[in-house]
Amino acid sequence: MLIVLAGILFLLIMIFCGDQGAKAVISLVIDALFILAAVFLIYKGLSPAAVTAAACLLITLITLFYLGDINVKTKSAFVSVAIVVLVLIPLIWFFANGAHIGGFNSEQYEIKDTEGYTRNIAIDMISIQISVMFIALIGTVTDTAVAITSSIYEIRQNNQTLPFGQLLKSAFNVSKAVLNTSIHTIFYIYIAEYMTLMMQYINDFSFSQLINSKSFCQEFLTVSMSGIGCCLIVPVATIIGSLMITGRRGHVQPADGVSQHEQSL
Amino acid sequence: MKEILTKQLIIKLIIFVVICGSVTIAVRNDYSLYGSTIGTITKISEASAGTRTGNDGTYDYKERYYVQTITAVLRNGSQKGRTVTIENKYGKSQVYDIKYKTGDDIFIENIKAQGSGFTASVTGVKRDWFVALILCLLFGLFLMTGGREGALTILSLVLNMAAFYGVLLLYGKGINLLAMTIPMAIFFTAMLLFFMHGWNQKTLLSLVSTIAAAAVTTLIAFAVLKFSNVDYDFMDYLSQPYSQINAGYIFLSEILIGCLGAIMDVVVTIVMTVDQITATSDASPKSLRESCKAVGDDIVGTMITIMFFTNIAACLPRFILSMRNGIAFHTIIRYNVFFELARFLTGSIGIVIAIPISAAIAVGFYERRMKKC
Repeated sequence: MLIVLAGILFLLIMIFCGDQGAKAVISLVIDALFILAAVFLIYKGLSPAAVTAAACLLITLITLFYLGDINVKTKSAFVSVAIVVLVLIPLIWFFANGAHIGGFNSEQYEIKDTEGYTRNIAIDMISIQISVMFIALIGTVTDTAVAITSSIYEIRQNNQTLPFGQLLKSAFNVSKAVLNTSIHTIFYIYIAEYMTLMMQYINDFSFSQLINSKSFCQEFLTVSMSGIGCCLIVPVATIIGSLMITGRRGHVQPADGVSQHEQSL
Repeated sequence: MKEILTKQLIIKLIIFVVICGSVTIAVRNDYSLYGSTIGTITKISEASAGTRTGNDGTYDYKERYYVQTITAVLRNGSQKGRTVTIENKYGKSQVYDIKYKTGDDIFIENIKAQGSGFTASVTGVKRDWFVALILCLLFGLFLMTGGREGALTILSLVLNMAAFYGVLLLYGKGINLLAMTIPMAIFFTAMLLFFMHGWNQKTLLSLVSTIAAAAVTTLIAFAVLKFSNVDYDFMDYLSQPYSQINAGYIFLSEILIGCLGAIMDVVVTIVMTVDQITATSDASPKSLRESCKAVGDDIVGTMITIMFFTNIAACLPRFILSMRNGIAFHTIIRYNVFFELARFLTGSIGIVIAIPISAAIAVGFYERRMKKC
């Protein structure tokens, strides 16, 4: 079934998308290979934190600079993503460690000792959960950052003389719309993912059991972290984007057609 | 930077921190609300409990085990203030068990008098205040970055959750899940589009296109599902026993909901583009379609990337546990992470297919309107 679906997806991309679609397929394959490599290295016993950090960095680089191009838009997006991820490292560590959400839970029927799984695997499951939270985060945050810096670039292109404050204001207006759609995209994906879990909750759990259970906290904290990342990237990308895009323009401007044009007027 | 750091923002930040702090403290100390006994860990001493070996067919893994002797003070119930001793065994990986820390709040059962003190057993961690804190952080950030739109986003998320809860309650009463998910999906889409763009032609066009694209995606998934043999034993959290048909409905519902957000995102972008172009110029339907394709081309890559990471991240722990259990790679793909991969693929199909569908509907609509003029 997976092969059929993958075939359909590939065919559709080939029919309905152009070069950019082909690029999307390639970068997706590269991303998938990175994830598999990361899984394999963790399996081999390397530190999950180091492997995840490297994988996330490479994935962000690919998504930004291969799928996009190397320009001021993607560069400022990269800086913004880096800042947000650095801010979130202690926060994610605090939640994952404090709430003890590593490992598996009793609601996962299919993975148990009785099914023949050994628990003696010698890999710290809390670090794995932290990796999960980062990997879930990185895709959305990168996409949101690019969307924001691109629109700032467009605004700047259309109005070169716009003062910085004004630029920031209109950039924020665009960013809000981007935030809204990103949040809903991930929200629906998560609802789908945890539909079966929620069915169990409704049948078997009381509210107090629910919000203290490991399974619920694992999912809820991961989803919320992605949401917090999305929220944080909005002001960061807006400010960094505005600064970097106007900064570069500022250097170019004297030789630019605009100022000469003004002089001749 | 003066434009950014206004007085208003600083006041907002202070309010935000105060609210987060007070909610956290309040929820952290809500012991009296619970019927079950809760204790706070005051002291832990640890002793090694030997090692055990796991094997994946080729390699051996040494897992260290420890026994914690936990001293906890009860925080609620008739025995409030009493000190109990608890034993807890954990493996260093913490696959199924937990290593407790001083200061953790835990649920306690089986309190028995033994010698001069009391012993008990631990059943879980009190995690409610983490949930409350992260909810405060999330909603606060929504409101601060999004303003009015942020408030609407929160409202729509809450309404969505309520509708979803209602559907699950009805499902518990034995009504077909897919039959309820379809109207729910239409309701979600209509509400969200209405919140974002108000009630106008663009919203209506987006609504029709989203429903059409989601329907096509689900039909494709249904057709493929019909001709393949899916082993639902590996579906995460699925209550057992289950019937094959019912599990199929659940899976299709998941696919439908999972692609909805992304499809809406694509559709809104395309409809907006068509609207903007027709408002500013007299573009021919052919060039309109070209523009739609170009815009779609731009967003498809990043959207698929989001789909990939959001769906795949959650199966990382299972992947690693399975590998260390010596399960072959293709078996893991085929069974253990099958549902995540299938949802990612169908979601991506939805994203790609939404481009021509919404372009056709939007361009068709504007074409007809132009002819009328």
